[in-house]
Amino acid sequence: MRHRRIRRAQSAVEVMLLLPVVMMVFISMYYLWSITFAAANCHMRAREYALHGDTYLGGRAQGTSGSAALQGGDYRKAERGLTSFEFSGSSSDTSIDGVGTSGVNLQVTAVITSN
Amino acid sequence: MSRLPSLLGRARRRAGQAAVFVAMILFTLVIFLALATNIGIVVNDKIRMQNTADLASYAAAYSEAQVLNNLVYLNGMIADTVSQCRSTLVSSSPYVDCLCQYESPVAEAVIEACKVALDPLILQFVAAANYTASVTPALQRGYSTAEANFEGTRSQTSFMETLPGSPTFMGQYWINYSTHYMGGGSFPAIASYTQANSIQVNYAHLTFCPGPNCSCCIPYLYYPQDSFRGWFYKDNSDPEIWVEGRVFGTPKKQFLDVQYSGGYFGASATGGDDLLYAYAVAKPYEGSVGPTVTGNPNADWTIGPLYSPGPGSLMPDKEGDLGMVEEYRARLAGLNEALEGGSAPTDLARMDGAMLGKMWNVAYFKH
Repeated sequence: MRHRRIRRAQSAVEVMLLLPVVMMVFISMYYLWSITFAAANCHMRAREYALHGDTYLGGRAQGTSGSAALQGGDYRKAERGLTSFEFSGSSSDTSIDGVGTSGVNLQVTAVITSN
Repeated sequence: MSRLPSLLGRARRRAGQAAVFVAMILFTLVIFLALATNIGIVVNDKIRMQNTADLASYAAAYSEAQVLNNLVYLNGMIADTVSQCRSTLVSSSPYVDCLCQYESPVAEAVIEACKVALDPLILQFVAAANYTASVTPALQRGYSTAEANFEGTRSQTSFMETLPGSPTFMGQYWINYSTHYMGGGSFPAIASYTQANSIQVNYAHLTFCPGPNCSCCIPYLYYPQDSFRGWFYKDNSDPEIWVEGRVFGTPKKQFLDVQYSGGYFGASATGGDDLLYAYAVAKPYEGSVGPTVTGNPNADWTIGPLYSPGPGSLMPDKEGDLGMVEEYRARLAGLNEALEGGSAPTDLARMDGAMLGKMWNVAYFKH
């Protein structure tokens, strides 16, 4: 009877011990997803800016800059001759804030170059 | 009391039971965490790789568009030179004298000067269209762009142009040319171009001398005839100039693989099955180097009308009649796009699939 009494809350204690670990794992996965999402955003926006500037980015062009291959609403005419060229787009994005920490800042540059 | 040893034995058997569960659960959680991290790394690298393929293909296509605009410019120079020669023949050289000859020395001198002026322009066009001077540098720019976007991908980038059997492989397209005094030949080129070899020129002159003093020369119109080797025209209406690029490789980052035979879910940290692939297609478009023999009767002047002076002159207009439009630019294209008209990426994708030991369904190559 004494042993049974001792074991009565054992499961609750085990759950209480495991719960933070499980929570940490799921939160970690969520942060990882957030960073991945931000990185994907960065890469795509940077590439988009290198090609089209902010024409199609609209309000999502914030944090994006560079020199685009597109000019005046159309693709840039390729200047004749084998002259060098370089177009680029840089984009930044931030993942969601972590527990007690700010989000991860990501910076990506896309380049179209002849060099 | 007799039950006590039995109870104690059972308790002893249960000792450590929770630890086993905890260990199993923790192991499972670590696997999930590793899986999530791996997915993040792979997704990130796949996006980088796709961007790299897109930008590398675009850079190569942009470079090809530059070459094509240069070809338009040079072809236009040839057409301008021919036009000027014809104008000169009409406006000044005829009727200069009554020499009782079948040819006008002045007009013939103009024609010779024109031929001398045309030859270097023809050679410039050939040099610019030459495959090794146009497509090869363009692909180098694609490699440079790949490396600038994803370190280590220069050697992991390939263009279908380099594969035998590709419609844009070296030797699929040729330029055939001849000059007046500097020979001719044919070379692999960025697209197939043929020369308008017999752009007929003639001039009105005075030859008929009815009397010994040549007092009443009668014009012998538009005779004799000579011909220029002139501008270049395309052999087909729309040469397939595509840049199809592929970037592949195993990301450098160390995966958090759980080491057991075959790796996690059949993948392997050592490469092989971890290879990622990204495909992209870009294309020069919107310009036109010159007329097509199928779509424009002015392409080869031998099948066009003879020149006649005066109002309504039939000298072809560079942009209007000959369709020389210096507006080439580059754009990304879907791999599936060619299904509607062309065949290059379709065949190339299949060819590449065969290299991988698989038969790709081109419908999957949308992006």
